[in-house]
Parts: sequence; C-alpha cells; structure tokens
Amino acid sequence: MLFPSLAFLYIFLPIFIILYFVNNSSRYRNILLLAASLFFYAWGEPLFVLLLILMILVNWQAALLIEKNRDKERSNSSLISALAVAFNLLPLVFLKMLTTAQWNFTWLAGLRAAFPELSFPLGISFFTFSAISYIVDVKRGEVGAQRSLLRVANYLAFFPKLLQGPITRYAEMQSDLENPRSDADGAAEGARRFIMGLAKKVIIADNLAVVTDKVFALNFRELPAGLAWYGLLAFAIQIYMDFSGYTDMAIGLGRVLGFKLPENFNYPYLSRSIADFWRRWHMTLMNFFRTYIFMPLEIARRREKHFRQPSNLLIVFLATGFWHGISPNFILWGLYFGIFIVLESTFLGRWLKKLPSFLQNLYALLIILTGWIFFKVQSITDWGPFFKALLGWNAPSALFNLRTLNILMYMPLLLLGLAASTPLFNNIYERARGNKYLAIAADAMLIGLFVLCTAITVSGSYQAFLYSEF
Amino acid sequence: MMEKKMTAQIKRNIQNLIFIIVILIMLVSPPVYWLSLRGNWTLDSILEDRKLAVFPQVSLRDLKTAAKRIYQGLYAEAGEIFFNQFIDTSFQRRVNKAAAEQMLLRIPLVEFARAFERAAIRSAYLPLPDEALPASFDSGMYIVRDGCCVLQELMYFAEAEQAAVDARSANYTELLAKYPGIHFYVFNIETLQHSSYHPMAQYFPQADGGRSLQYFLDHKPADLRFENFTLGSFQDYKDSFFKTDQHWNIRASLEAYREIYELIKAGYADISPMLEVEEIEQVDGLEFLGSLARKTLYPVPPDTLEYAGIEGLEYDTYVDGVLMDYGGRDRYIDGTYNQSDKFENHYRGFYGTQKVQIQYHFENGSQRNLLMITSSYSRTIQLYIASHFRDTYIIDLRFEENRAKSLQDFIDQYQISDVLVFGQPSVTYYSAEDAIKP
Repeated sequence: MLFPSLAFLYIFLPIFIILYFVNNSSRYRNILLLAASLFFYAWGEPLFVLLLILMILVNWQAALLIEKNRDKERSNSSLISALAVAFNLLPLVFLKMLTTAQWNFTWLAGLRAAFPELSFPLGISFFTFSAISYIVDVKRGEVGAQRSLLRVANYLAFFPKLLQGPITRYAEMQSDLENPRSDADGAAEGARRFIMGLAKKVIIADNLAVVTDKVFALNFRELPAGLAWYGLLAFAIQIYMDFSGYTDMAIGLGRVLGFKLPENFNYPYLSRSIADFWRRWHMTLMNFFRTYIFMPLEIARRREKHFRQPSNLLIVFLATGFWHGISPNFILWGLYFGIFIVLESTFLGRWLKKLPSFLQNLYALLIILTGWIFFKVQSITDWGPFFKALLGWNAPSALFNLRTLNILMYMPLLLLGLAASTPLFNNIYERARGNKYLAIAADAMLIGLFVLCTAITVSGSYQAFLYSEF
Repeated sequence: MMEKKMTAQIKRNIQNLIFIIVILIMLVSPPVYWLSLRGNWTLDSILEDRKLAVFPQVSLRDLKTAAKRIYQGLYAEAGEIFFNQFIDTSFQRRVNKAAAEQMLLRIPLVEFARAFERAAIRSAYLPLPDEALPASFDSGMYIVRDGCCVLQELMYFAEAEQAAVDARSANYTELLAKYPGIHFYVFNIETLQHSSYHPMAQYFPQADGGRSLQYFLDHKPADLRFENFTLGSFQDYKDSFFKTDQHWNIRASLEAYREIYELIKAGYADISPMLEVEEIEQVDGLEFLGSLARKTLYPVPPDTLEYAGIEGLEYDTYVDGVLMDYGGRDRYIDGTYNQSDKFENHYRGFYGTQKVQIQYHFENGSQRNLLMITSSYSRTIQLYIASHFRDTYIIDLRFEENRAKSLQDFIDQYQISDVLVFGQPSVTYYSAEDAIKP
C-alpha cells in the first residue's frame, strides 16, 4: 500500500488512527501497530509478507542468542551474528540479482524464466538494513536484545518507514516502541509534515515523472540541448521530491503515532561539495554505511598507512551503488561519487574551499546532475549521446521540443520543485507560524493542499472517451 | 509575561486541535459516505459515458470453503475460490479503483484538479504567442486562447501514417478490381486534426497539416470517385464543427450532402432529385457540452443543436435487423429530452446511438441498394443520402461484427449496388484495419 493511494488515505489510515487513539496502553498500540503494519505490507506484497515475518522471527531469536553468548569467554556470538547478517542479506541480494542484475548468467536466466512474474519486493532493502543494524548493535553491546517479539516486529515492520525508510537504528526507536505516546501538538505537526510530503510527491514528483519519461525515452542522438537540460533538471527535482516527500510522510505519520523518526534529507542541492551532498542526501543510508561498513573497515585496516581511507570510501560508495541496483550504471554511479569524495578529501577539497560559495554550489550541482544521468540512463552506451546533447554537440531533431512533447506545461511545477528544494517555503512557513493569523492561513493552505492531492489522485480515474460507444 | 506565554500556548493548542479535527473529518468522510450508501453505489457516469467501478465484496462462505480445501490439501482449488485474488493483487487494485470512482464529491474534485492543471498551463504558456494551449495535462486536446472552443489533438504524418495510407490505397485498388460492377464513392471529411489550419500545426513539424490527404490523392486509384469536405480556414472549422464536440454541425453536413449527391450522381445517372431543406431550426433551449468538453472538463460556452427540417420522407428503419424508430429527433423537437445534465450526449440523443447496422428502406422506385461504410459523423445526413436508394445499409467497421465480414458477404446478403465510404480520415483513407475486406 502506498501513502498517496486512496485506499491508504481514506480506508486504512482513518480506521487505523481511530483504533490507535481509542486506547493508549503501549501493549494495545504495539499489537495494533504490528497488525496494521503486516496488513499494510501484505496489501502490496501478499507473498513477501511471509519473508518479512520470517525475518522478524529469525532476528528476534538471533539477537537473543547473540546477547546470551556475547559475554561468555568462548563466545560464538560472532558466528551467530555473521549468520544472521548473511540470512538477512541473502533474500535482498538474491531478489535484486533476479530482478535487476544485467548479467547473462545461465542460472540467472533459468531462474527468471522459472519466475517470470517476480518483481523486486517493496521495502526489502529498508527492512533488511534495519535488521542488520539491530543484529550488529546487539552484537556490539550498543543495545540490549529485545525480549518482546512485538517490539522487534514493530521496529522492523513499522509501516510508516517500511517501504522507503528512513533507515532507523533500534536505539532510535527503542523508547518510542516501549511507550508510544502522542499529544495533540505532535499529531498536528505530524499531520502537517505528512501533507507537505504528500504534496511534494503528488503535485510535483508525479507530474515531473511525465517529463522525464518523455525526454529519456527519446533517441539522445536527436535530443536538443534545451530539452536535455529540461529533462535532467526535471529528473533531479522529481527524484528529490519523490523520495523526500515520502520521507516527510513517513516522519509525519511517525510523529502522529508518537514516534520520532530520523531526518533523511537536508536540502541536498544546496551542497557545496560531494561530501556535503552525501551528508544531506539519504542521510540514514549514509549513516548506516558509515557505522557498519566504513568505521569497521577503518578499524580493521588501521595499520595500513597508504590509501586506507580513500579505499574504504570507495568500498562504501561501491556498496551504495549496489544497494540501488545490481547493474553497471548504479555501480558506476556509486563509484563516481566515491571518486569525487576521495578527491575532495585530498587536493580538490582544499581548492574548493578557496572558491566563492556560489561556485562551490555550482560545482556540486554539476557533479550531482551528471550523477543523475548515470542513475537514470541504464544503458552505458547512451551516456555519451546524452552528454553530447547537453553540450549541444549532436544533431537535434526539429521534431522534439517542449511543445511537441507537450511538456512545457510542467514548467511551473519544475520551478515550484526548484523552490521547494531550498529552505524558501520552510522559512516562509516558519515565519507564518509565528503570527497567529498567518498560522491559521498556513493551516488552511495545508488543508487546501491535502484536498488538491486527493483531487489529483481522484482525477486519474476520470476517463471520458471520445468514441465511448466502442 | 508567563501568563502571556501560557495564553499563546493555549491558543496554539486549540489551533492544533482544530487542525487535527478538520483533517480527521476529511479522512473519515469518504468511508462514512461509502458505509452510508449500503451498497447502493453510483454505477453510471454520464460525464464519462461508462460504468464506474464498485468495491469488490468478499464472501465469508468462500473463505470457509477455501479454508476447508486447504485442510484437504487442495491448495490450487482454495486459491481459485478465495486466495488468488489477494495474491495476484487484483482485489487490491479493484479496491483502489473503486475508492477513486466512488469518491465522495468525485466530479468536483476532478474539476478542482483540472483547474489546477489549467492554472499551471496558462502560466507556462503566458509568454508565448500560441493561439491555442493544452486543455489539460493528459488529454492531448487544446483550447483556443479566447476560450471559445476545445480542439482535438493534432494528428501526425510520418512513415507509419504513410504506410497506413498506402495500405488503404491498395485496399481500394483491390476492391475496384474485384468488383467492377459495384459503384464506389469515397467522401472524406477533413477534420481539424489533419488540417493545416489547426492553430498548433505551425509548431509541430510532424503535424499532418493536410499532407496525408494530399498523399492519398497522389496515390489513390485514378478511377476511385473521391470528394473532400475541405476546410478553408480556422474560421471555416469554427463555422462547420461544434465547439465542444468533435462532430460537425447541420450546416456543414448539408453542404456535404450536396457534394455527396454530385459525387454519387456521376455513377448513378437516374438518381432522384436532391432533397430540398426547408429551413434550419434550433432545438429549443438545448445547450450542450460535447465529448471534447467532457473529456477535458474545460469550462467552455455550450453548443446549441440545429437541425434541418425536411418534410415528406416516408421510410422504414431497421436497427440491427429490427423494425423500429431510430434517433430522438421527434423527442428533441417536442422538448422531451433530458435537460438536467449539461454533459448529456445530445448529438447521440438526437441522431441516434451507434449500432452494428442501420437499414433505411424507401419505396421510391429505385432498384439500387447502398452500403454506407461510415462513422458517427454521417448521422446528420444518412437519411438524406439513403432517400436516393431503395435500401441503405449503414455500418461502422469498428464493430467486430462488421469487420468480420467481407464486401462479398454484404453484396450477397443485401444485393448491394453502390458503396459509399464516408467519414473522417480514419474511415476514408487511413487505417487499413478499418477498411472493408475485399
């Protein structure tokens, strides 16, 4: 079930909210939350919900075993945790290979032929990483193993963050799981945040998806420069509004229910370097990689003097690429950012600091936008023609322009998305909150936005046909 | 100071509470509305001219039976009875669809979304000189900037279209060769979509702009009798077609009738004299918003419906082989038509609903029978043309029942002497798929 769907907004959510606030005992709320989360996941992934349940049971038991063995002299907790991590990773890697890997292995082709309908299950990357972080944190003694199956289950399957994160560590949710409490202020703030996220997704991201689909479906050798830039900018805004919008909805819902989920974005397009970008973009993923890959690598290789940190950084970004998809474009996309971060940690970073801040912004933006080409264009052989198109070095066709593709009309939404990628709206909103009349106006506007999002979603069902008699 | 802070906090709390209550009411209203309907769903949408989706129902009995089958080890059967609809997510999709189509205040919500789209479009096109702009995000249609009329999307002319015209020309060549005794006529209605007078044609290098017609004229069999209802300007279009519907009006249709009469006369020397139209009148009080307005929901001024008065025609009408009245002309003239819904399809209401076959029978002494291969455009003057033949069989090849037959089948069954292909380009010279099989 997706947040912007009408089934979620007008069936699941009202029923759940009413039931949730009927009783404020933490046991009741945890039971309800788990039932709702499993239903929420089963709605979209009726078979893979069994995998989620299996992972919950295995991780719950594994953590208890790890804790039991952790402090013993001849401990086998390392083996148990390694097995648990491998168990968690196995379905993710297997399913990712099966559904996204662009390699021609015979066994892979055989499996694909055997399961032609199989698609990559929603959210598996997110709950897998949550599970791994729980196991490792228990192994490290940073958190105690949770005896209550209910709380472990809710940590892993908590529906607001289940499909697109943010990736949380158990410690971040522990106290909320033990005592999920929500007050009117928190619920109102959560609802406001949810609506803002919904608007980003429904009004901006989904409409800009039309632009990117049309531009990136063209033959890049005939693509005019203006159109290439328009498509690329639209994709940059679309992916940010889509992902950060979903995160806003997750954080907002969490807040309504009395959970404080971590932030995942901090105006990434205002970064002054690539390292800065990765501190602002998908922050919880980077936090995960930093905690569970980079730092352990740094410690394990602490005696190595040469190229240790750069190589560890490259490994982290290689993993980032793999996480997004097992195909050359994602892997190279990860490496591309890794190389820039390595360079920035040496001479490039020093040079950049000497530049005026707007030039630093421009540098980061150009590198990020270029990165989105690798991300969006799956075929590596198409990268060259697209770059040529951006530079105006190919032979553009007169058939393709903003009018003929019918995408000029999305320009105001692109501009809106650009503005929403900066703190502009947030600053205006925060100022309005300080004035009682403007605060009411801001709330009225949010309600209007919610109606508009519903209207846009409902509008998709309107199908009047010219030749309806056929 | 402390008191002031507390007052501000209380006010904030009240505002938060009000905000939550409003949002909760909004979330709860649709499910309460659905429950209040008690299964009496809205089944038809006049605007969309289609059936609406309703919430699927699950039966407890099926669940019990399926559970029993599982207990018996008959998993496949259990799946078929109950579980498969959830596993393949068809149930979930039906719920989502029904939630949208049964939504409380659905059409006002759709109109609100369209208003937002229009605002975005208008601001995007503000600095441009275009005479027309997109009417909505995804309809492909345009609205003339002064808001007078909705225009259909542009048609393109490229290799695929050229191939379609070639295939149609080949079809005509084959028909003429195979049936030398049959009189063939083709009358094309040049629509704005294919015309160079579409206000947006200048911006679309791939737009048809009259090229497909010219290509057909250059490649059609030389002995094919062909005539065209030509658009001379954009104003000509506005005078000839409805502003909110793709069809043409009676004035343009009558002009076409004269041209068709001359076309047929070339192969039918003793054709009866042309019908004289008494006068053109307007259906009293009728204002309607046609298909284009329905599809875009653009707030355009409504159309009126004019008709031509012709007296003294005596004939029988058979609809799909059954003798009956066809169309609602008399009802409309009497004023007993549905006046409550501005989106009612009055073109269809007045001229008749599309059927597999309409047959007009005239006792006029003529020995010739006409097969009219056509579309809804011709309904305005089908009767006038039919009056010159004994029996006229009107078919639309978009119906599978007609498409399955060959011309020989019609000739054998109805003793056809003349064939008139009459309509917009997709009927007359495009789309080999919609051509009659030789």
